Amino acid sequence: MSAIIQLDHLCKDYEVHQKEPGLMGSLRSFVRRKYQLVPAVKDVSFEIEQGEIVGFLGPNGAGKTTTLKVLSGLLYPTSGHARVLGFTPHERKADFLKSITMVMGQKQQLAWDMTPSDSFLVNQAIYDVSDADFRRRLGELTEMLELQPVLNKPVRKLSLGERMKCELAGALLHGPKILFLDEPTIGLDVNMQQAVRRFVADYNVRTGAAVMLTSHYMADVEALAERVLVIDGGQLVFDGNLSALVAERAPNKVLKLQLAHPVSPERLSVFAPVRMMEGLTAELLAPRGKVAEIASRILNDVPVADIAIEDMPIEEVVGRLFQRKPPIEAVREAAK
Amino acid sequence: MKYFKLIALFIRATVQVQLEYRSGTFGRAFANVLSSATTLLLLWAMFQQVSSIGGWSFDQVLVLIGIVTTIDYVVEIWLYPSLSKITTYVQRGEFDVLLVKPVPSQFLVTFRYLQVLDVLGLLVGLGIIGTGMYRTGSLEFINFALLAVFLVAGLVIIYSLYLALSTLAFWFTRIEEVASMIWLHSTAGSFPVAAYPPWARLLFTFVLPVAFVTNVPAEAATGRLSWEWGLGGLAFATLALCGATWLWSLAIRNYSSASS
Ligand SMILES: Nc1ncnc2c1ncn2[C@@H]1O[C@H](COP(=O)(O)OP(=O)(O)OP(=O)(O)O)[C@@H](O)[C@H]1O
Ligand SMILES: [Mg+2]
Repeated sequence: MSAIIQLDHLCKDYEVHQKEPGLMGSLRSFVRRKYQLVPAVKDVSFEIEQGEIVGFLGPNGAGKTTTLKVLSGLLYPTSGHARVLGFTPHERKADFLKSITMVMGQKQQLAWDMTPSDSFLVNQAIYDVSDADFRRRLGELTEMLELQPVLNKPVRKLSLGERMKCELAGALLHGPKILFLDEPTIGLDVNMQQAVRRFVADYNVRTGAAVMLTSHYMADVEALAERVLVIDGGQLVFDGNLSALVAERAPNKVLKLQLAHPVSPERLSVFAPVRMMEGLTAELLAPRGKVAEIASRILNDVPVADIAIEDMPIEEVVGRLFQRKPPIEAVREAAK
Repeated sequence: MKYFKLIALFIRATVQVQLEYRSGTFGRAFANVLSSATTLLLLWAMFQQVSSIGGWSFDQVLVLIGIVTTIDYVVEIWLYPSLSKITTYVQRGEFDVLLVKPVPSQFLVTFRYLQVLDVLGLLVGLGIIGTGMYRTGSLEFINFALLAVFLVAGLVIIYSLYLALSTLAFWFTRIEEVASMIWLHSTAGSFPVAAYPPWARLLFTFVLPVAFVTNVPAEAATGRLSWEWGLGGLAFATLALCGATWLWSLAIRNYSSASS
């Protein structure tokens, strides 16, 4: 058994209570509970190996956070099984909780009223980290994340980015073997996003920890994850290589032209479909195999000042994936 | 060991915030003196008319008032600051953060805010108890020991009640209305339960156990505790703690199956 995360036909329905307004109403609905079942995850299965970084993509409400919460033991599965490091997550055994970490970009984990250093000491006690390990890891994290200047400021006085870096440090002091990162870069500026990405990649290389990361910033996923899982409407619609996803879903490359003189779109569409045309810039979609040929024909025929051949932006590739839902098996085959 | 270390760290953090905001300390101790003085004055006026209330002499009631004052204060500097946050955690969905920690969540919510800086005010209550014990001539080791035991039992009961009430926050959103019931022990508990009519005695013993929380320790301190009441108090405290802990774990299970 080499996979450290195994998810087997997970389904998760949320029970939403129909609450009546007011205290009496709450009392009434407490006694006679009326539920509505909201399916959030439908029959999702995958395995993750030690040391992998997996990007978990999907539009808002797709079920990413729900899946991560099941894997970290916060939620019971409605049906199906989760197995993480040989544990059943929702039993929340101390040994299990000590080997994972969950960072939620939208939620504060460090206490508002403490300084990061104090919060770290609390974590040391909670996770039974020895003094030697604590000092060593804190030293490393402080250096990698450049925490020195903020360690002794109360958390409520930190900027969002400073706080996020401290959250990451606090979440890693116990040396977890699996990192569940739910939108760790949300709201950060580009530099800070890069810093966090570099840090996660580094941590993965140094410790061999597995990382499962959700993000709406495609750059995070491109920079970090070779493998992506795409979920939509609670169903897994893709599991495979990021580059396979691009090859499979984006058979075309983008030919970017900078024209020397105005040219009509009709004249360009002779060579390949025009994706975009604005003044002197135009973008054509050319099938991968024929890009070079089409480019040279254009260069012979049309006054071109500059030309570039690019991949489709991943955002768009994934965005398209959300719009139609082919059966997962078919996509898996294609990915291999 | 680990748990003591955590409590120490929580205390330190709470004290730092208290220092930063200079919240309370002397103000609170002073308010405590003032409210006890008012109650005592009232009591003194009543005892001008009668020589005993429900079979309790003035000095015995003095001990009772001391106990109410002490418990009030512990609630104010510990139970209220810590347990009242449960509602907030639940409303903001911050409970997840506590649940992924390899330490029981009940421990974390119970000891998170211990405002020991205000501990001075406790002396007021303890002073009144001491005075009452002195005047009734019950300054004996056995009385102190029993007082300690039943004071702790009383606190356990109050803690359990308050935890149970706050736990309801998982099901009700506007729990504050219910939670204000916690202060009932100091209004109803300031008098000997024996002074109330029989129906109220039952109510105050088993439903809102002010009898166990305040009367029993006062009897223990003055050497008047019958073994039935003593055992009853201990049994009630144990049951209350088990019940509240059970309700808490039920709430957590329920939270984890995500009904919101
Ligand atoms: N506690 C809850 N009670 C009821 N429904 C919920 C609860 N949490 C999430 N849902 C619903 O479950 C579905 C999946 O939510 P989830 O938070 O997993 O999405 P997500 O992929 O993380 O989205 P986002 O990218 O916006 O964070 C959504 O339809 C959401 O409304
Ligand atoms: Mg989410």
